[in-house]
Amino acid sequence: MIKLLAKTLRILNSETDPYQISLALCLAMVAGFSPLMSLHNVVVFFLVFVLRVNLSTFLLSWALFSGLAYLLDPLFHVTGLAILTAGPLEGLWTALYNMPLFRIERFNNSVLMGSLLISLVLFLPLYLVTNRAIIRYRQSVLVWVRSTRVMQMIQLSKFYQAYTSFKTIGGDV
Amino acid sequence: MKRWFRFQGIAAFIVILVVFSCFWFLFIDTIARKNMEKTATSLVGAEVNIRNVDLRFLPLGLTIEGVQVTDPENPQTNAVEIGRLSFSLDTMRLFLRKAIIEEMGVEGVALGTKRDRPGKVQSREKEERVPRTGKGWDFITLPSFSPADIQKILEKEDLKTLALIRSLQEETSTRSAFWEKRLGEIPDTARLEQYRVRMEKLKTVNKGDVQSMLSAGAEAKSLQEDLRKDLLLLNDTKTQFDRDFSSINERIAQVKEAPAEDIRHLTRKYGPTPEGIGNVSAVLFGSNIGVWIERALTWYERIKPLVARSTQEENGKKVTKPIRASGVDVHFMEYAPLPDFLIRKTLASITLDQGMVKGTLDNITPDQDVLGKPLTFAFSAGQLGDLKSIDIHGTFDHIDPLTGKDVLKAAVKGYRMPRVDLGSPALPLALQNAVADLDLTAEVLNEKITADISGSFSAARFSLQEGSEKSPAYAALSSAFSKVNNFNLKARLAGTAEDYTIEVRSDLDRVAKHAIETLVADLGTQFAQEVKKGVQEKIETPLNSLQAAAGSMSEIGRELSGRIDLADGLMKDSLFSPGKKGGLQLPF
Repeated sequence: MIKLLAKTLRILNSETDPYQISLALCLAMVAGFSPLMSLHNVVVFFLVFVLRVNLSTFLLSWALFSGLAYLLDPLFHVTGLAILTAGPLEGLWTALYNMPLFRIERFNNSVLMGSLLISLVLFLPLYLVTNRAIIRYRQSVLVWVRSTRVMQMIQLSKFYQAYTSFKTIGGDV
Repeated sequence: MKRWFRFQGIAAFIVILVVFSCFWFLFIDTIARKNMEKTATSLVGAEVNIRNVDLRFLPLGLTIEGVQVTDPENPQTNAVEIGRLSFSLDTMRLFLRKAIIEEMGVEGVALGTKRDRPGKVQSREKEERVPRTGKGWDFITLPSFSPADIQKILEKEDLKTLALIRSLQEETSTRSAFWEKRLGEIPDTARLEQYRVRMEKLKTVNKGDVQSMLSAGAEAKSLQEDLRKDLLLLNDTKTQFDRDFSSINERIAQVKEAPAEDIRHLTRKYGPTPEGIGNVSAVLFGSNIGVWIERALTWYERIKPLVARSTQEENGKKVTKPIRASGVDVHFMEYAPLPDFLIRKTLASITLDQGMVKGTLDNITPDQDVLGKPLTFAFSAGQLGDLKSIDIHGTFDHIDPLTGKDVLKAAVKGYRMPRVDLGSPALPLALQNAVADLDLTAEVLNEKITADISGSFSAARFSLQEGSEKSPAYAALSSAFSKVNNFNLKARLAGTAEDYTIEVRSDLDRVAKHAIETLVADLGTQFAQEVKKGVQEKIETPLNSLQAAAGSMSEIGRELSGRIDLADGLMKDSLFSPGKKGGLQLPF
């Protein structure tokens, strides 16, 4: 647990570009919320590899969002079912239903549709919010924390030693 | 550009993809086997094992070998064992998530084979079925009786005879006391003897003395009048007494008849009767039929999702629950509708100890509404060891999911039955052997089940099961059944899977009824004799006492008669007959 927290802090405190962390978090949300064996997750993983996102952040967040997905499944189901059974969208879904690519994607499953829709809707807001939060954290909180007596004491603790042991693990791959 | 992209990531992605694909190719058979075992186990509710799965890619197809489906009722054996199952898949339609199999070969199907180790059975509390034993299936229990039992009955019951005796004895005592008192009030022997003394005195009067003669004449007349009045009183009393005594005697005669009525009543109330013997067929065959029906219904419910999946509607759209994934799948109109899963034709051969049964199953799909065709099946075989022929065919029609209709017809001819244990502990008979012709027609329409089974049995031999407790009914029925060679059996099931009734009839009912009625008649006679003995013992003393009381009343009657005779004799005396010798005659 200490190592996990230390790793998270190490990422936040590193020189890694905030967008790399935010984007990794958002892509992890998409992959984590929806069932793993979904076609769109191939695209997500492709983007994770191709875009300069922080892989450590992605892996940590993916685990977090996958766990969260179990709790949110009822919400995904209700949302997905409402969208899939919405009258005005019937034509669109019917057209997609007859396309092999989308049948492989299993878009007509209520949980998959709900989780994908919610994660896509939250994608941009989450990206912007986390991006801004990381920048503000580094500008104010980090500087203040480092100057406090408590932090100076922590630097002498076991936790800090664990934290520093991850220094070599960078945000970039 | 470089700020956003890392092009070496493409290479890393491709490497990972290749590694994943290699892993998939190497382990897909094992993964598929594990998934199939897991899915089948959850569907059947008992462990399903598959020895080998071979997935082919060109053309896409699957061969499954060594499938063992544990019998949930008996985990030591397999309900079904399939040697080899092979089919090809339509690759293009698979991209539309349609598993379309034009023809599937199923070879080496065996039923009830022994397992190497017991299979695990999932606990399904909701689906657990307990064979029903209907109310009418409890066998008649004839009452046993002993002298002690009869004594208890007589102690418990208020006998009409005893009540009559008590009442009559009381009345006799009252009457007797009345008449004893009355005897003291009417002229007694002493008074009559006084008349005689007076009469004798009058006879000695001096016949030459006119005055004396006149006085004697007047006294004689007065005496005669008194005597006449006394005689009249005595006669009236005697008449009343006779009426009373006659009434007492009549009631004593009724008391003597009363035990017969008591015996009839007690025999009716406690004696053996043939009631409840109506359905021996149900007792004999009901349990076995019930067990088979429960098994059939259990398997029917397990197979049902394969021919008609559970369908619901949400906002007017058809939704189905995927077998393994979460959520529901919403279905939309297809331009070229096809079921998600379809096996158009299955050629199956079932290997039994006696030979092989071959058959076909057409249109196996959980989406009959999309295909527009029902599942049909037909299996048949001739000369299979102990049976001449077997023919099974049927239809599972769920084209309209709301009005599903499933029909099964089976005919078995010339089946040489092995020993079958029948009945209940009260009647543990066994059908040692028989040759059976059986016909079954079962139909499930809108969840309502009707099934008719008719069987014609010849060369039948019944026997008692050894070591069982013998009862008179048991002995009588076994004796009757030992003479039965041929019989017919009809069973009818009606209701729903959760609540149904089974009616079993056969001409064995008549045989059993006759045997029980004869037995009951014999037992009834024996019971009545024992009751008669007991009643007679119980009423003997009170009846003797009553008869003694009646005897004392007859003494009163005799006393009355004696007085009347005496008075009557006096009235006929010559004193009151002037013309006769010794009579009192005036001299002028």
